[in-house]
Amino acid sequence: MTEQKAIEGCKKQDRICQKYLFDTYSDGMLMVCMRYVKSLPDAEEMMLNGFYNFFKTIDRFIYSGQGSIGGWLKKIMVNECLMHLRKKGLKIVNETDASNTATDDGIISRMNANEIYKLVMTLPEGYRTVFNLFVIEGYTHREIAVMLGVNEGTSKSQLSKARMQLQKMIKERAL
Amino acid sequence: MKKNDGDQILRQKMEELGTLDGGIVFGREEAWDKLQSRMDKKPALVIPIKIRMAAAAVLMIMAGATAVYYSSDFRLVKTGNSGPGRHDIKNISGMETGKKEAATELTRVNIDKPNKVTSPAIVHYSAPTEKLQNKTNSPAWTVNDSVISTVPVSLPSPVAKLQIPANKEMKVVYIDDVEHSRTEKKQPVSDINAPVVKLDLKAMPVNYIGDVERNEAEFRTMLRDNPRTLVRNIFARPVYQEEDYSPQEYTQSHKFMKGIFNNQN
Repeated sequence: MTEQKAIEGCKKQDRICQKYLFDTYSDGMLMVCMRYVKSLPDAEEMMLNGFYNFFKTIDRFIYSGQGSIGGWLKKIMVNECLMHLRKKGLKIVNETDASNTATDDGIISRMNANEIYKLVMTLPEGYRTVFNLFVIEGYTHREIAVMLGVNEGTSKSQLSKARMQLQKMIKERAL
Repeated sequence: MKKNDGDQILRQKMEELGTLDGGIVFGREEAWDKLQSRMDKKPALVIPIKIRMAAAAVLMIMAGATAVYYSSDFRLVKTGNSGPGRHDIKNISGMETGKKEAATELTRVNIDKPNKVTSPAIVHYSAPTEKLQNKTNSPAWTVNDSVISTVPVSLPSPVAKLQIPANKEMKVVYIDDVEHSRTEKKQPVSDINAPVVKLDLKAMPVNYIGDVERNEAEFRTMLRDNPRTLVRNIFARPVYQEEDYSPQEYTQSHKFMKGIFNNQN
């Protein structure tokens, strides 16, 4: 079954097509949710909410090639997670102290994905959220500021601090 | 802050990471069953916010109206010929001299404020109003309670003796007959013998095209000189308020418009 046919089937509420898409993307989407929400049950809940919304609003989705479903689903998942964090009371204090800190390419390329993931998960919630949104999801600071309801400067500052902390942890690990 | 190469590598690595690599184990089939059951559920009926707000507004208006109706000082009472009413009180205070026709009407009367004489219970119909007026120098619409209480009241005897002549036999009239006689209506009868009116078409006025054109030209000139005239005359309608009514003006404008349209037709 191709993705396009699966989408067409989903638009007709075909359960087989829905199952196909769920099996294909559930793994990756759970990982997306896990990056924002630490606990597995919460992340699973977010993932299910995301898929539920995806299947409910699939009439609005226009298939535009490989990766379009993944991108659409990822956006839904990120929104679900941010909503969950907001409900939980995610507070990011407005700061403007943003120093440009870049991650060390050499050390990072030598580390495996699981190690990086574990390091990222040790970051505080605010830092981690901004870091995920900027570095992994690829949003701009302006978009992040709108999504989290903070200043653009705050987003930059949070990212800078996240990077610094990550660098520190990577160096400690290397030693 | 631009994204550097380190970010790109980080991004790639994180996206490649699967659940098993991350050491996460989750039951996919169980999750699918949960999702399926959630999708099979019928969505709860969601009433749109506009309808909710409208319903709330209607309820509030009704509640407010009920509260005002039951808690207000005002109550609708009936005034009329049967007893003393607003007009009689006015006469007592000397404010109005002419007697108004006391037609049956619903009037708002303040019943909870005794100093403002509005309650029909305080003033008796048979009280000598002139004396009261002389004794009190109070302004119009106010009467002291004490004064009213000292005024001697002579109420008419409640029972009237009917004097029926003993010899005369009274005609028995049934109420049904009376009602029928009132409701009976004369059927309209067509007058067959009425004279037939023949229309004399030759005698009817003939409008010549020249006259019509002349009228039109006059009308245009008038409109050019005073453009408001047309608007005023088009919207001219009978005025029912006495002070605004001027029959002469209305008739003139009516005739003017009638003249224009008759000629054009």
